[in-house]
Amino acid sequence: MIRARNKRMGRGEARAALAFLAPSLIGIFGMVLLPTADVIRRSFFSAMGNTFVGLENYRAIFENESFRLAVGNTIRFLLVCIPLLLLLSLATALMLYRRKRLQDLFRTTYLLTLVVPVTSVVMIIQTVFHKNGLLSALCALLGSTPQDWLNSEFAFLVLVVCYLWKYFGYNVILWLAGLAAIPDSYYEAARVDGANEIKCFFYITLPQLGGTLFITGVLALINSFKVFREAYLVAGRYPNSSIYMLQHVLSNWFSNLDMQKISAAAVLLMLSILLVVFAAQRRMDRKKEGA
Amino acid sequence: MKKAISILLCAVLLAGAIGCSGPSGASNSNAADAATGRYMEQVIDLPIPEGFSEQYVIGLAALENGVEVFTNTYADNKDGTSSARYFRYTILDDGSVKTAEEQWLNDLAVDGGNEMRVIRAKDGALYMFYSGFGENYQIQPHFIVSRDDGKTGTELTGDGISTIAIANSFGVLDDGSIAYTDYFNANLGLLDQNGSMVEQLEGETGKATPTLAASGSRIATIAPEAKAIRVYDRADGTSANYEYAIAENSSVIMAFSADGALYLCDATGIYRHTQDGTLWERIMDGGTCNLGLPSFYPGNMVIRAGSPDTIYLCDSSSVFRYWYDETAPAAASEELNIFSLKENETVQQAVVAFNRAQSEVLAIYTVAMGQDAGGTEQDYIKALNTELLAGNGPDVLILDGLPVESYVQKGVLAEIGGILDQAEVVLPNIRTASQSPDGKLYAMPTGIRVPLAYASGDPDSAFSSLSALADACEASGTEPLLSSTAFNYQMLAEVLLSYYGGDLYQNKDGAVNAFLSDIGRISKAIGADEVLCEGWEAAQGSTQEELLKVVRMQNGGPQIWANATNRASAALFLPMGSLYGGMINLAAAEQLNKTFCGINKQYEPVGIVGVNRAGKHTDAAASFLNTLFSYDVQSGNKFAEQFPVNQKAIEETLNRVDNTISSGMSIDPEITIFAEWPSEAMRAMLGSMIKELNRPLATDHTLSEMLVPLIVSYLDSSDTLETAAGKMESVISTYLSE
Repeated sequence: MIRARNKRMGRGEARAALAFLAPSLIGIFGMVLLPTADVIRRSFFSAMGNTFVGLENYRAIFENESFRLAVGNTIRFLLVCIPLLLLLSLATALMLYRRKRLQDLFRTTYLLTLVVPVTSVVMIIQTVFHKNGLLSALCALLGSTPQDWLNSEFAFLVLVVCYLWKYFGYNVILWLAGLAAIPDSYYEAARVDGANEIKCFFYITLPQLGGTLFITGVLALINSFKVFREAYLVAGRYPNSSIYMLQHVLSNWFSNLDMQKISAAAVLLMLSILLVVFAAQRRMDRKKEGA
Repeated sequence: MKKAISILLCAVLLAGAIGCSGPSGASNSNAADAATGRYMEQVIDLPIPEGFSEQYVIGLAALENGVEVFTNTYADNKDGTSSARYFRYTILDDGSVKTAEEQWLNDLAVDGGNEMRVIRAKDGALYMFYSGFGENYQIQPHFIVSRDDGKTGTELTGDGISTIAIANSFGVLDDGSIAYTDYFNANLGLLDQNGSMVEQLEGETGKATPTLAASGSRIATIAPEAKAIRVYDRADGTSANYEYAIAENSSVIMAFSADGALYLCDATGIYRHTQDGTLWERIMDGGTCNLGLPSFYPGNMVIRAGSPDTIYLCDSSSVFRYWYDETAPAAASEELNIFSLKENETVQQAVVAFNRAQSEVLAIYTVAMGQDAGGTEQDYIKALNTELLAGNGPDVLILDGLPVESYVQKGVLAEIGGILDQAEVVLPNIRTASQSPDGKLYAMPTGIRVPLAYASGDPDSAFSSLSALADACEASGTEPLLSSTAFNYQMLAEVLLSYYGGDLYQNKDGAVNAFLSDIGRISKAIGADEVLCEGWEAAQGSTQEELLKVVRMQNGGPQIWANATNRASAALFLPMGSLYGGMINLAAAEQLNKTFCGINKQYEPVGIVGVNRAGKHTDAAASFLNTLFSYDVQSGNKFAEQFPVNQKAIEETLNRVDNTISSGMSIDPEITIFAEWPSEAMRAMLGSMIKELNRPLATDHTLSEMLVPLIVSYLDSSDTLETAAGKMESVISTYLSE
């Protein structure tokens, strides 16, 4: 009789849980899962979605020169930016850790870059790096030839700096939160055993920051795709080839109604990101199991 | 208890939901029952008295059973001069028209001709304002009054008259005082019945063209800041604001009706505001009638009392009647949506003609990048694409600026060859050139512009290709072939890329190197540099940015100057869209003994139209295309900057003679290029050239915008030929491979 009551209560709880979850589930189904399914479907159909073409769209985008250029640039950007961002922000977090006053100050100021409107950032970039901007003026003053920085290979560096400037503070905060979660007793015990700072870092701090590294890395990856806004606003639909990113080609394809290509590229992009995230997650899990 | 509350709440929700939606059958029947009655537009044809050739409407007065129209009518005399008389047409509802000369004006306004306006006051007196010219061409304003219905008149001589330059609107109050707005001096004033100044009124004269209506003791004018109409009541000294935001560059006219309601007319429509009301009621949508035409400029409006009122208004040449038709459907049963990125006058005219011709389908013309647009071109293209992908979108697309080839490839556009077979005959060469490689017609221009050049001797060979042009420039000796006055690096790159860049757009091997090499030779041979219009006196005082804007619209001036002063022997013009726009170029060719030619039989297509295959109103779309390519629409706006493609309309355009217009260009004290209407031979030459056009210009604005700076960087030696070519090839290949 008690078991039957528990069973009834269990069903009731399940119903309540479902009722509470329903709005989110409906939202995710309608706003994420359904569109994703439609994109996957469209990647196997013609542009207006009425003729099945198999893998033709995938073949078309792999053969597409601009797509390959955009993918190459995007990967280059990720490989340069994400490690740089993680290392710089971790180093800064380590310097700030245990300096409470500085932490409080920097926690606020570091996040300011996130709330600066993109248009302001773009204006600053253009003021500095335009052909007739401040940097060119400085070059002229120093006797060097002014350059159209944003229309040369230098544009890539501008974009990297822009990305680092924007997300550096945010990542420092994430690292600081990770560092704060490591119990002090670990360090005390290690020091009792004679470990120096470097050993503490490699044998306690770094392993303990694994979870933070995963979250920070994934967020850095996601944020790196957002830098397209700056690239688009600074240099338009067709920027210098060094900063012609994946989003440029997707955006331009949409203008030309190439929905089939966008869908195929989106599916590939989704799979790539999932692959990276799953691989990182698996590695993390293995480490945890090992520990 | 909880259960009862839950049931009650559910019942309330259900009842609410039912109440909101209503029974579907009932709503349908309501729609079917209450759907008649709306204002219609009628264009009133005015006869021209025998012996006269042209007339301008200068005033209207409402009658109980019709309207009086006052005109200033011209006759061409045998000695080449023209003489003007004033007429009054009394047009009654039964269609009868009585024509009579207007004696008081013939007697008193003999030097009339500028900004003439005639109104009839409530007491029956006729008033006319006009600006004549005195000695040294000084403006001389005149107010004339006739109190015996036009037999005789007297001129007002009060001290207020001389302060007016051009009274673009005026009205008479019951006490005989005259309220006026002065367009030229930008002020509003009140004169007594003798013309003496009583006071200046407060109103907006900077942000909007001043205008007013006056009746009884009330004066309506645009309030300061142009966000409302202010109505003064002189009887009790009060004023009230009727909120109405005046659009920028909009021409507004107003009139009071007998019951005190205020009518307002602008490009968006006709609105009515009752005396004690708080809202404007739109009684006529400007987008469905002549009001919305860019060429329409309302001159005068009068209201004939009735139930409901009838509105008459005029522009300089026509009179329009807006009357309430009780039998017409209040709303059309279908809506045909027409979309374009930028406004196209021919399409706008077709919309008006289409809506006027029938009442079942309402054509709605949406201009994405209109005056209030806040987004970029790409924003609007993406919004359109989203609709098209969803299987919706406008029924008719004006494809200028849109990815036409992509739409054709993806099956967005329907085949319109069959529709055009049913329409009036269009130029066969343009139709053939517009066909896709599969021989089907998906998009067709509503007009064309023709790139032209002239030179001494045989210009065809010089302008046949870029390398031939480069050879000719290098062989030209001391007098360059083209003028560096009109062609700095930027203009050379823009114009030559547009006319000779076809191979680049097709990414042919070696095309970029050849193009750069040839354009470099031309630049060097004509002595081009970064400066535009150097030495041309007419350009003095303007910045390079201003000059670039001007030369991008019309590059004839600096070239003709250079040709007339032997600084260059030939000219390469931007595409010509009308005889009016090209008059001076054609005249220069005749006077300087040059021979015209086209550029490889190329033309610039304008107003390219296509039909959305997924559109919901295919029959209406076909009918709209018939209207769009009809003679009436294609020949409707003689000042449009595009040649019509309707065969009859283009023939009529090229056969038409308009001696009322002329222009001149003073080169120096001894040389003047005087342009009258192009000669028959010149028009015949242009006609035969148009009939042979067979290639649309291969211009891609996006690619062109990216290539021009790279070409300029080669011309100004910032880059070597190899570097510039490499950059261009990279851009072209990335762009085309997308």
